[in-house]
Formats: sequence, C-alpha cells, structure tokens
Amino acid sequence: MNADTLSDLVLAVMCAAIAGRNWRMRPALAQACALLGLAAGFGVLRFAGLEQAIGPHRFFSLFAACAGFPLLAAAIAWPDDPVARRAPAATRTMLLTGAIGLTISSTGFIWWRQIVPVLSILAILRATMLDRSTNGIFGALLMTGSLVMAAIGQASPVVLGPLTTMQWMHYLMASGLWFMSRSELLRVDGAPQT
Amino acid sequence: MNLNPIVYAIPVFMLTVVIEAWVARRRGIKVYDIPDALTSLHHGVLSEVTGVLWKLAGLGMYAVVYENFRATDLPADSLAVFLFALLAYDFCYYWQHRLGHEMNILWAAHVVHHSSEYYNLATALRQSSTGRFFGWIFYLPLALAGVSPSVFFAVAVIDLLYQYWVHTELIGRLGWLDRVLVTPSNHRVHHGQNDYCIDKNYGGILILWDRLFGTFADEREGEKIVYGIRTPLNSFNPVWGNLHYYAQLWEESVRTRGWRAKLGIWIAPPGGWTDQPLAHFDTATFSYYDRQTPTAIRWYAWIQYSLIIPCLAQLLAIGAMLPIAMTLTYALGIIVTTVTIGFLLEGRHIAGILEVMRVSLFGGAFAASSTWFGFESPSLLRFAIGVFALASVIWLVPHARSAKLVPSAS
Repeated sequence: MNADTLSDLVLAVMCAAIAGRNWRMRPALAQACALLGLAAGFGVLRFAGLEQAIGPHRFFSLFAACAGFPLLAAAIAWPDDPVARRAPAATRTMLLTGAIGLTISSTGFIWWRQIVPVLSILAILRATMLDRSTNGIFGALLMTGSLVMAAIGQASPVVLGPLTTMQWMHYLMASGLWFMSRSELLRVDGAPQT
Repeated sequence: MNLNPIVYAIPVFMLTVVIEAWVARRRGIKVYDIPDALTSLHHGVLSEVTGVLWKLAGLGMYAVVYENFRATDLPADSLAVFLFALLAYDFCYYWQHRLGHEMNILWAAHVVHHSSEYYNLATALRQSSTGRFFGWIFYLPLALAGVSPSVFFAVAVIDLLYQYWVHTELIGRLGWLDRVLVTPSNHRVHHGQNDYCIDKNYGGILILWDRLFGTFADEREGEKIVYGIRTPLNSFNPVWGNLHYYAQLWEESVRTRGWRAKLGIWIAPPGGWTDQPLAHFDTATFSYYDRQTPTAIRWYAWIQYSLIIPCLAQLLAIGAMLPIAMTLTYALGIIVTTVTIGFLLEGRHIAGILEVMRVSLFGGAFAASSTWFGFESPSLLRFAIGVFALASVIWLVPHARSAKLVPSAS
C-alpha cells in the first residue's frame, strides 16, 4: 500500500465512522461525510492501481467539494435547520448544490470547487467561535489547513516535509471532520425528523 | 441529418389522440375537453421548442460527465449494455419522478404534467419546459458507469415513449401486468387528486420500483379518480402553466424572513416540512375549469394548432443548424402562437387583437418570403397560407369580440 492510498483510506474510514454514528440523528453531517468518504473510497481504489476508479474519484471529489461542504456547514453552523435535522432535506440540498456546482464547473469556472468549501468552512468557523465550541473551532481550523493544502497542490503535488500536499489534505480533513463531529454545537434535542 | 425521434412520433401522437377521442365519444365517455386538450398539446409544443434551446442543460451535462469522469467504456452495440442501461435509466427515472413530486423546485417543473383535469393521450404530451434544469443530475450514475450518450438518449426516448400509452381512461385493469409494469390503471392513480392517489406510482416502465420503495397504490374499484392538482392552474396559457408554481414559490420566498428560510422553501416538499397528514380532498366538491369557449373559437384554435405542428417539426429538425438568432425567432413565434391561442380559449379581452396581429405577421411573412427558415416554400403554398391568414383575420374580427363575452369560470 502506497502513501496516497493510505491517506485516502484513513479519510474514507474516518468519514464512514462519522457517517455511521450520525446517520439517524444528524443526517446532514452523515451525508456530507458519506459523500467525502465516497470520494476518498474511490481514491483508495485509484491509488491502489484500479484505473476505472480515476474518473469516479475525480467526479466525487468535485461533487463533494460543491455539495458536501455546504451540507457540512448546514449540519454544524445551523444544527436546528431542517437541512441539518431531516434526511430528505439534506439529500435534496446535496442534489441541488451538486447540480449547480457541476453546471458552473462545466462552464470552465474551476474556482467554484474551492470557493464553496472556503465559504462553508468560514460559516462553520464563525458559528463555532460564536458558540465557543473548542472542538468545532479546532476542527474548522484543521479543515482550513486541508483546503490550503488542496490549493497549493492543485496544479501538481508538492512535497511538504514527510507528506505531499494531497496526503496532508486527506489527513487534515480526516482529523478536522473528527473534531467537528464532536463540536458542542451538535447537541441534539429530541428525535430526528423524517 | 440527425433527426429528433419526436419528429417521427408526432403523426402517431396526433392520430392516436384522434382515435382515442373518437372511441371515447362512441362509448359516451367524456375524456376530452377541447380547450384542455389543446392546452396539453401546446405544452408539448413548448416543451419541444425549449428543448431545442436548453439542449446544453440536458443531454449536455450528461455528455460532459461521461466525457470527463466515466469509469469505463461500455460498448454501445451490446444488447446486455442496452438492457442494463434501460433498467438503470428506469430506476433513476423513478427517483427523479419521485423527487419531482416531493421537492418544490422540481415540482415547479413537473406540475405542468399534472395540471390537466382530464386524463387522456393529450395529457401525456403536456410536458414541462423547465424539467431539463435539474433532471439530468439523477442520471449521472449511468454516465459514470460508462453508458454512452447515444445509448442514454435511446433508452431515455424508449422510457418516455412507453409512458405515452398509459395516459388513457379507455384501457381498464390488465391483471398481473398492473403489478409489474406501469399501466393505464396504476398511472391513473398517479394522476389522481384523491387522498389515496397522492405521491403514488412514480415508475416509468416498471411499477416494481414503487412496490420496492413503498409508493405503490392499486386503483380502487368504485372510487372515481379526480385528475389534476389541488391548487388548479385555471389557465389555458402554456407559458403560465410552466411558470405558475415558480411564481408561487418566488412570492413565498419574498414573504419569508431569513435567507435560509427563503432558500429552504425551494427544497421543501409542496406544503412545507410538516409531519401532519395531508388535507382531505372531497372529490364531490370538484369542478372542472371551464371558460365555456364558443365552438367556433375551439375549431379555430384546432386549425391554428394544426399549422404549428409542421413548424415545430421543422424547428426540431433544423433548429440546431440555423443561426441562433433565427432559431430564437422561430421558437418565439411558436411560443407566441400557443399563448395567443390560449388567450382566445380563455376569452381574454386582448386575445382578439393579439391573434389578428399574430396571424397577419406570420401569415404575411410566410406569403412574402420565398424561404421560411431554410425551407424553400413553393409559390402555391405561399399563396395558400396568405389566403388562409387573410381569411383568419376576416373571420376573427367579429368572432374575437364574441369571445370577450365568455363568462368567467365559477
């Protein structure tokens, strides 16, 4: 197993664990993690040498950037919103933001896949700072770091210390998601809504 | 020339509509109302016209994803791939259709198809012009799997054309088929307003998806189905038919406070997020939208409609090859025709003058020019159209006035 496969595997496992734990109570968080995890899962297959996974990996990376991050923001910054509390609302938001993101990206505006995650993380950072949620703030900062790594390594992977920027991105994202999923903002009152 | 298959299907559609109306009349069943049927057909015309304009948004996005992200190349000439694609398409269609009913922004597009209060083959042609905005997202799994755009297009047309024949009241129960395939019986339920019909039977070809995902309902003996939507369209204008629910959502968004709530309206189900059961619908209180359009105006509208069809066929055939300004002009001309005829059927005050202007402009333009959007029109045809336009104007002047006197629907 090479280092790229390992970093994607760690991210995929982390996403699966968070998605599994939150599937019923925090559907938006779970679906956002499932989407990021799906992208990472295809990444594992891709870097393990399966050529057929290259296209889906790139697709789900784009889709997760356009649709997964807004869902993450909804889950953490506005935990009482129907999008955060109701699984159908979360799915619909994902489809709509994904469709818009794909359309805009296909027109050649490639910055969309970076603008959306940055705005989403800023929204999370603001909400967690207002709530003084230590885990949330730390998670958002780690996620910010992962986006910085993605931006640096967008053209071609750059080696920073022991890891490449892509590997840094995966590890930072995995740890950021873990902290954010433990944010104090995510106190759930009552039963999930359907 | 790569012709749109709908061009070939148009004569079949027209013939079967006429046959269905004739059979229904012989059996003494009222399944057609002329203004309603014409409005359905106008929606179909509009949908195809906008299809030419929105081509990029539909098959275009599918092709983009296929070209850039597909996992593998599935052979386009393999029967197994074709069958897989058809099955997968039908599955994706189920979800697109289901979300089309359960999500406001998608319902705004799909509501068009349900806005007829009659259930007949013309209703099948009452298609949305805006469904292409987001519908493609549901089919991307096929693109990722490597189903080529040509195969995708073929199975999409098959799935769409299959659904044509199920829009009829003349075919009863079909036994076990009603539990496997989408049939007239179970699709009647889908179009009903009765309590038990709401949000049921979304399948395209296979009704098995509904049985699998818990949305199947069998047609009930002895309970007459009332067709249409619970907030009726009450219009014969196909442009308004396409936009009315968007307008409603927009107004609701403007009224609502807070940006998240404003956006939330568009993804909420019709009626909003609620855990309350659906309001009861009393079928006994239902009344049809009827403007009591005079018979002469109905016939006039039919004749004008019959002239749109060759124009539509021409636009579908050559629209992509014409300069974009010409395509837009032609499309606009057809759209204006459907709207003014709709106004005539409604008996609007402005309808007469609009229709006189339209007929004079289009008839005059056709008669005066030797080519009609690339078509070399014979002198005899130009003369005949010119005479027809003139006759229409002469006839319209007194009759359009009578249309003003049509009483409003109660």
